[in-house]
Amino acid sequence: MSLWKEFTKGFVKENPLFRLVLGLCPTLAVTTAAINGVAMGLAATFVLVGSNVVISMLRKIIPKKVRIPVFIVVIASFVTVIDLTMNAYFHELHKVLGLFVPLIVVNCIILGRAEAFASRNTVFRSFVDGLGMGLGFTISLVALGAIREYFGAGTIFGVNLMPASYEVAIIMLLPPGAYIALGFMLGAMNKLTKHEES
Amino acid sequence: METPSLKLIATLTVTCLVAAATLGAVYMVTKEPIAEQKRLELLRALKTTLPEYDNDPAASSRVISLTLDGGQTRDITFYYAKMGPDVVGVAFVVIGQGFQSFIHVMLGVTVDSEISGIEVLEHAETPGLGALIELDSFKEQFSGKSLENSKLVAGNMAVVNDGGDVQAITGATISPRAIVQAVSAGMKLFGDHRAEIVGGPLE
Repeated sequence: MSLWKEFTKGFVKENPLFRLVLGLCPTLAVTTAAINGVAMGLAATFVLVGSNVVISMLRKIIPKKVRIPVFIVVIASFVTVIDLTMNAYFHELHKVLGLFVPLIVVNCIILGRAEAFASRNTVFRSFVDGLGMGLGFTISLVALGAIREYFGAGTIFGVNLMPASYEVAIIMLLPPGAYIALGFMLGAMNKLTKHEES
Repeated sequence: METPSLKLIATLTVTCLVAAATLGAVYMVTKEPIAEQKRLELLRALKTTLPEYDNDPAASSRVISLTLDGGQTRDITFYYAKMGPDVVGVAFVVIGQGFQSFIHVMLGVTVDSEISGIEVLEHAETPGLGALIELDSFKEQFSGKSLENSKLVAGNMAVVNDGGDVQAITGATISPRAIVQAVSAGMKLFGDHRAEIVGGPLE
């Protein structure tokens, strides 16, 4: 596969959220607003790129039997690094996402890419894969967050987009709204990409 | 082919050592900025909750062990606002059980047992609903209230829905109620132990 394809596959064809349906826990929890999606997505991308690169570098020296514990240690370290960094330099954002950042450790996208891709591919390809997958995840989170914010609060990125008479649908900000929005988006995604499969 | 267990152990040990060293380094670098952010946050909360002061309330604090109504003892940190040599108000953290989280509220009280302000420090209430307790319009209505001038229900301050006079938020009663209960309990605590809290030497 060409490098470009490796990079873009995470956007649509193998989109972690809409195609692989991985990492739903943080997805459903944080996407109450578009901006949360940006932050969570970028944090996950950083971890994904970092862990992919390190795991790819180590792929020949890690014995098969202990690979999963090693992957987890690498991933958890990256997550803690970003958790501390955000707390120190983006404190306001950390207050909003603080609960969810540690959850990146158990986000199956990260471990999934480590096992399925980084442990069998070169460092550079793994870097590209991590970046593409991470950005695909980010775009999905932002889209989901924007939809929920639009219907639940009448705003996108805090900008008011609904007429004043609009009665906000609070359910979209509550957990059921996450499932409703995700369900519709999965459906739309399947419909749009149908021709590629046949 | 079997990998000898010694190699497995060595791999795991080295991985963990490297990870530990990295985390230690990052922790050392971010420790100061995080502490500074926490201090600024505390100072912001104190500024909005305390009456006008000319000292550094974050620096003039005291931990007092108080015996509560239930009989248990709790250590509470009090932050003092001073004008010249006189204490004009104190602030302390009260906690209420909200809809899905504990709500931490900084409560500022003047020496005359009036609320000078409240600030929501920490919570994980429903966004767009219970989280509206962060709105200034909700928080500001507490300023100037006291146990004497409030409409009390069974001796406590209460939201309008419960017969009190604190305006709750449309569609969300649980989170405002939690705050009112916490604030009311805090005011009682202050009233019961006023001499102990306000008097006594400060460093």
